Amino acid sequence: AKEFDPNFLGINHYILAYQIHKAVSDKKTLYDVLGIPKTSDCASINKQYKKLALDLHPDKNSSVAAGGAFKHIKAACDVLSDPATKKAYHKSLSPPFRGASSFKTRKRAAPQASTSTRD
Amino acid sequence: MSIAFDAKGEGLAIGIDLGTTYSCVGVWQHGRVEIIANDQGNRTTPSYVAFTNNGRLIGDAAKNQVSMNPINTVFDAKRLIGRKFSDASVRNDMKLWPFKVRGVGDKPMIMVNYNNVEKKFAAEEISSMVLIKMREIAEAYIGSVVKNAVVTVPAHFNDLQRQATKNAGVIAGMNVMRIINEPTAAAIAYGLDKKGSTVGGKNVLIFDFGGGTFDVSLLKIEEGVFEVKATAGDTHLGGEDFDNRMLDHFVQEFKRKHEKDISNNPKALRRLRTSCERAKRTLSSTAQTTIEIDSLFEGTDFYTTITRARFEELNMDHFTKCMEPVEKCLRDAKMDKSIIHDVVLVGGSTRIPKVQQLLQDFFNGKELCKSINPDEAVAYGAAVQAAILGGEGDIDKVQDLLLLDVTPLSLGIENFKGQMKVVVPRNTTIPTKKLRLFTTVESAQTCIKFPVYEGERTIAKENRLLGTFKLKGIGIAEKGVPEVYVCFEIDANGILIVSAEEKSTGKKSKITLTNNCKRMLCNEEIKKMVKEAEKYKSEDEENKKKLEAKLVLFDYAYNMKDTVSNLSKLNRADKKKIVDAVAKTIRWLDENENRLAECEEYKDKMTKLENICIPIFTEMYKGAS
Repeated sequence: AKEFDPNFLGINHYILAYQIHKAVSDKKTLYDVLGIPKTSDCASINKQYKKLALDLHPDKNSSVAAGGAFKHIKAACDVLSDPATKKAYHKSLSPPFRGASSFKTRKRAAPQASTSTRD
Repeated sequence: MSIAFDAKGEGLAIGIDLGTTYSCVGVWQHGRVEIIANDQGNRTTPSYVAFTNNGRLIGDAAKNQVSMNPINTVFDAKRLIGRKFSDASVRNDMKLWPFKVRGVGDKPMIMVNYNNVEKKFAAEEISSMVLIKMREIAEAYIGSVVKNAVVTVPAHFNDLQRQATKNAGVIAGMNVMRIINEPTAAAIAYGLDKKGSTVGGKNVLIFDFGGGTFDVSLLKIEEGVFEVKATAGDTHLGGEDFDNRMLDHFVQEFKRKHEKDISNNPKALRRLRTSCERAKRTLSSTAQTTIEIDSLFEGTDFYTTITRARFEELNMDHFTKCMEPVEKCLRDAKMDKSIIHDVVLVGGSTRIPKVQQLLQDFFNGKELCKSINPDEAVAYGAAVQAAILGGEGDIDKVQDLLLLDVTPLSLGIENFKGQMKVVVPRNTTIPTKKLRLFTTVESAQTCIKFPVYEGERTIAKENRLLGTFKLKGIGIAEKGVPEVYVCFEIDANGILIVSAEEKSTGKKSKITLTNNCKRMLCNEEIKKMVKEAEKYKSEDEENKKKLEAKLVLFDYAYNMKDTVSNLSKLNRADKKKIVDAVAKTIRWLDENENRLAECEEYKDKMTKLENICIPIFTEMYKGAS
């Protein structure tokens, strides 16, 4: 059974990487990308980021999606762990689907660029 | 299925600390790191390569003969690697090196005399020889072939220096799985055993002061994740610089005392330098030491003393310079020095009491952490990272360990005003991807040039140019209208890909900044060097065989000489025959003292000698019985 274990773990990690990509492309909130409630404080955001990083970093996850997924969670964590950018992000969230905030354009541009440079 | 499994089939992966003055190798085995001792029993090996008429020597053997052969013994390759010949630091270093360096193009090449032939080597080749030596040390210990390695570089090395180090690995015939930063590697060594106790995270400052480079890194260690927050340093400051200051001081003293200038005599300088290095080490534990060199120059002996205070005075500016990167690191990480949990000392130069004192004062008297071996910590960490990347997955200890490193220098694009527009600021966690919007500066402009730079200066030209690429076919529009997104993408290996895309037309252009720069070695050059490295290796083996053949002949000749002189039974004529033949052989050996002849020649001489001696002895014993 132990022989199967690492493979099995690997599959979970693969799925996790694709889930992150899906959350980003579905334009979910950064909290959804990280998989934590909107009420999370700085410490728990950082903790979740570290937890995900252990599973998603390309050193740990051989999926092709891993690199991209890691970049997404890092970007999400960067925004949410700095009080100033977090506030700005919350502001951009509150009137839903109106106006292109800087964060939205950045997110939209990101997947395109990643597909173009990855090949 | 995964990379991890592929790597496993190729045997163990090793970690190599490729230092300026000393190198060290480690391997993860049986759930722990083993630092491997070399054939001399030393756990660090000098990064020295010597070229003699009897072949090539690497490591201790090279350093031990340095005073006899100073101009053909190469060291400090790390101070040349990835640098331009016109760099100020290269110019200054050249004045101190006994070996010759010449610029080919703008690439510095080391000139040596090897087997009576003038040869030139790139710094990469010298480093590759050291890497080969380190691999051989590891292979002897592990007992199987080693292909994969993690090699460390100073955190403040730029892209070219990293790439050149990687090329050194390729020339050595190794697969360099990853280039990691030395202080980060040291942090693993520090944090591996303390993993359990880092609840809530620990802020650790690594102070890595080695033989040639100086690095400071600030990390947050939390639940097995080693996250580098900031890094700073000086790629050209280390123990060697202290030796140089001391050397200078004694050259002046010699001039004063004996009115003789030794500065043009490489042999004398080398002997004095070796003594300086020893004195420097002694001064870390005593307040005063002596230097005694017999017949240093033109028969004049040199006896003198130096105190720790004098040594500190000579190097005070170097020591104070060390504190700047510490401040910069804290500033970049937005941390106050009061929230640093541990200050960890790495590298031989951290043994200097003054350095420790200055650092301790800076942290308001905080006790410094000396729990890890300063000489071995980097190789230790590299070995752990090799195990992680090599997928030694069965070991729980490394499985939940992750290294998050950063870019040491800002990356950006030169705009039309010649300013550096930073896209990836320094200390950004990698892998990363950053976008920045650019536009045209003229109406109906259809082409934009993107020069990619690395560095902290606001004027782009003062930074290091990594490469240039163009985006053509932009739709005709008023200036400032086209939206061009420039994307910088760095993967976990630190390889940078820069791409540009125009929004309206969807035109794309990109550049991968590896092997792309003019100053770098191109693939063909590397291939040539790989071939040469193999050639040198087989030459080494050939030389070994020749040496053995020579020794056999030598032994036999002297044996015969001894035997004959003790034999009374032999008649005069026969005795003379043997003595003459032996004398002839020894004379031939003496004449060829500085040259290794072919194996066949030795064998030939041997047979000739035997053909003379054996019949006479057989006859003699026959007569006796």
